[in-house]
Amino acid sequence: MAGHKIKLQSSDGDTFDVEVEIAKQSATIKTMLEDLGMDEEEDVIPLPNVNSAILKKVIQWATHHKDDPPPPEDDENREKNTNDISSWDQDFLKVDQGTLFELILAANYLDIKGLLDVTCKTVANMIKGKTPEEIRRTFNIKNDFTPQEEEQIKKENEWCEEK
Amino acid sequence: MTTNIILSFTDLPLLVQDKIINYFSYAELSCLRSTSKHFQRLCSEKLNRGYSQLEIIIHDLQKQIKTKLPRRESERHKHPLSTKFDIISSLDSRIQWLKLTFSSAIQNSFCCFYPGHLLDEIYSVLNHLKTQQSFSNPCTLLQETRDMSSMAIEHFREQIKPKLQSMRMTSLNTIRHNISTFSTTMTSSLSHYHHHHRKRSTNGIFRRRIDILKNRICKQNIIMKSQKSQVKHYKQLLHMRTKSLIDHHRRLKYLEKKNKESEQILLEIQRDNNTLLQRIDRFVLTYDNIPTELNNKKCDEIFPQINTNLKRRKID
Repeated sequence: MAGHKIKLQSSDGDTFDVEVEIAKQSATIKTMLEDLGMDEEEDVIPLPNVNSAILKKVIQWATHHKDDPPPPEDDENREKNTNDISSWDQDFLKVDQGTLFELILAANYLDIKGLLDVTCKTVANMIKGKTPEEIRRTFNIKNDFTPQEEEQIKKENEWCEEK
Repeated sequence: MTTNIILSFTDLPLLVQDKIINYFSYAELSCLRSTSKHFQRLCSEKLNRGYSQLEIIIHDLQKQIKTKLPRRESERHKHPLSTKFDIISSLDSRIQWLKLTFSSAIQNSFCCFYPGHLLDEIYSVLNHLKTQQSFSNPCTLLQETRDMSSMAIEHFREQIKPKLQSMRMTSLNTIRHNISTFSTTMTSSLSHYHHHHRKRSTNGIFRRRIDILKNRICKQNIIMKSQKSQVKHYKQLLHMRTKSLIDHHRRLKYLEKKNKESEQILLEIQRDNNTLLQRIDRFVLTYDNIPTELNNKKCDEIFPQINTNLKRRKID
């Protein structure tokens, strides 16, 4: 059904016309369409957890990735590589931290694995190579360790230091 | 793009945080622990999980190869898989050695399996073992694991264990305090125990602590079960709400349609009213002009004309 469209409504009431095949990248929407039999063009799918700005970005991402093969299943022992983000995705995710986290929440709610993977990888890249202090500053995290606890972790991490 | 609420890393769902953490090597996780208590919990869980899975993976591998090897030991040595089996066996003995050193501290939550670098190395060896069948130099494959595990065990015994002893004593005092708040009867017996048997072994207290912890775990399990059923209930509710929301949308659409139709009808009525008013105006004008016209023309000529006019309007 190429070109067949559905309407997605954001939390702030804006509606977006999206091709069914693009919208179906979201497992949540796919289930809604299949389980609730919402295949008429008149139907509006309310997405109360996603605002317009984020939904617009999600649609933009899904449109660009509409022909992608399904992402691989999660495997705990898989390669921990985070450098395989495409340049388009890298540009797409050049946003402020709040937007990035909102995109993660939207991808998680809409169950778009590809988007969740790439956004999580971006956050992982923001952490990698940074000192704990730099991480705290980047994510506005409070250091809630007592000096003794901090000392213990420091001591533990000394196990492989070469003399 | 503006956001009303500034989200932080901890606001992300735990599953997402876990997914992010999964992109780090165990060595990186070990360092990441010192960011905050939250990060420490996340990373320690991951490190401990990685450590506890090692034994399972190794035993599975061992089983797999054992099925392919001959049962007689003398014949095993000639088999091509024997080198692989030997590597796995020596890896297993290393893990057992690590287990002897770290397990008690990990079980008592005094520390996590912090040698992340060692975990990375062991997993890379395991990957080799899973993918390759023959090994030209089995000694070098395990060299790094041997070195690192010895370093980790030595470091634990020399640097961490003595500190844990003092921590254990502090925690023992905390337990005593906890027990006293937990039950008054237990407190009296414990303090009695504490005063009179100070020098005796603390095994009894540990046993009691285990009992208390077991009770707590039971309670936690019950809470978890009820929360799980609650989550299930909420999921059903969400499904129902979404359904009714969609239903409302449909109804709203239908009402909007109806509203538009009635607006259209109203407009038509208004238009009719306007034309009627215009006609009445015209009629009043003609009626007002009658006396002046009466002056100029005879009544006999005019009245028939008005009558015909009126008749025409009625017909219209």
